[in-house]
Amino acid sequence: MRISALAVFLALAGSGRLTAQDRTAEQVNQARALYERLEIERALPLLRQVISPQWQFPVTAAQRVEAYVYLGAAFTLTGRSDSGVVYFRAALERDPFVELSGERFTPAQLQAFARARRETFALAARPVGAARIDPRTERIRFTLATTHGASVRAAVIPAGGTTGVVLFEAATEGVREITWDGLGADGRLAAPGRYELRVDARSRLTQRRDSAQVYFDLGHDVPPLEDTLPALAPAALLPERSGIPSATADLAKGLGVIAGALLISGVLANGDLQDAGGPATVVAVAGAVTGLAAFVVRLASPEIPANVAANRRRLEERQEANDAIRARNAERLAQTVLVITPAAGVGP
Amino acid sequence: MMSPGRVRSLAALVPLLAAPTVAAQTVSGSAFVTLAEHRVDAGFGVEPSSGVMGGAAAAVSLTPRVELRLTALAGTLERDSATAESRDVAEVALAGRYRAIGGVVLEAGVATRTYTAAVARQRWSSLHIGAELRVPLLGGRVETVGRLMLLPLVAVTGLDQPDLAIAAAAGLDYHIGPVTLGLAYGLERYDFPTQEAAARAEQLSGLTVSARVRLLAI
Repeated sequence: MRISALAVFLALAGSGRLTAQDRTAEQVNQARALYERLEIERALPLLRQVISPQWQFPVTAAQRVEAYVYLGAAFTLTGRSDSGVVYFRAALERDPFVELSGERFTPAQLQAFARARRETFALAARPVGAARIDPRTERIRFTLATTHGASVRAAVIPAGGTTGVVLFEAATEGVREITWDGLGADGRLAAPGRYELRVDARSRLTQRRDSAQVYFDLGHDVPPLEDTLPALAPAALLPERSGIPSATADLAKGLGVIAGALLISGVLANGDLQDAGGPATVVAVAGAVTGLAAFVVRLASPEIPANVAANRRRLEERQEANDAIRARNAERLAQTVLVITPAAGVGP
Repeated sequence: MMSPGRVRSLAALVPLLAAPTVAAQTVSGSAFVTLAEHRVDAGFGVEPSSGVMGGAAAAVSLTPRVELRLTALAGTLERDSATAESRDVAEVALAGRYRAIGGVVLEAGVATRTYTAAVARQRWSSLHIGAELRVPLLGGRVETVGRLMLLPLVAVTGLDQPDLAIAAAAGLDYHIGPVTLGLAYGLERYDFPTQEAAARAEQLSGLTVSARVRLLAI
């Protein structure tokens, strides 16, 4: 029994919350219906309530703008065009994208709205939506609007930065769409990160200024790239200069020939056959001369040409491999897709 | 029948000089000249003879590590004593070489040699197996070469198998562009078993100068 009562209470409470959330929409809809039936005097209080600070229920920006528009239309329809203009201006200040349809509003209302446009200067830019853009064939689109003619400058700037890519800089009026190819000022694909579309405008009628910002995150969807080969470690290269150790080693090798010749002549030869070993002496002398010559040459010209050439060959092979990797990576980077996601705030 | 001072095998001496460096897929050729000295003692004292021999070799690398080499030589040894005998020498040898690590080359091969004197002809057939060590100097422009071969099978007309048959050499190879000049001292020693109270010993040594050139790189 207690459980049933609690369930009913929660249901009513939930119902109450829903009613509160929808109450503003109901109120605006009701006022619009009255307006459509030309029951203007009954619609006006309802609309006033929506824009009043005493209105207890949540009001979205769009609902508030709609209330102002219908207030402006209602007052104009009843011959109070000055008041109508005031409300139209309030609507435009909050949303410069507001338009009145000629099919639904009278010429007087349209005229009043046009006057409100002239007397009000406001600029707005629509938030970007999430999108995937192939920069080779597609463009990132931004939409902005001014209430009347203005000089407008729109630029994409890295969040927190001061300079960026100017997308538009000219006179415009009303709604305008501008595009960005995703390239930075250096002509390369813009780096991933948070960006700001910064729009500055100056009225051509009143010289007033206004600005708007739209933040978005830019990401790169890139196929996996290959790593280039690391720089060759010293251990991977041959020594290019020989010092005393190398010279001594070569001398020792020459002495090895002497030892080998004398070993054959003195130990392996049959002593009973009385071989004088003349040829062994010749080779031993040649070994000594060669070893000494190698020793001197090593000291005199310490560079080792074979090793220098081998190292150069290895470095060139590495360079060629890295060039090929870079070429493949460039092809993959050319296939980069830009991932746009809306962002709030003023930077990372 | 040839005299006791007949020239013995040169098979183990020549390969050192004719052996090209094992390279990848190459054909090379070489020519060499040997100043040879032969000594033999068959129980009647040492009988020396000497002379010049010339030859040529061709080598083909089957793989970067494996090479086949064919060698041929000929020459004459003139007697240096009244008891010795002059004779002509001719030899053909075939060897397989495998380049192991660290400059070590393993080798096995066969050779047949003929000594022709005024009164007789003698044939030597042998099998040799051993290793060669090549150590580079001056960044490879020069190589020192050491070589030791065992001849476990030596068949000689009219003689028993020797108790000891070895060949060794030491020398240098100088690489000058596509040409390699070689200088080596080589020695062959054969100790035959005692027969009729006499122990026969033979030895051939020589100084060889060679020139090798790479003919074709595949």
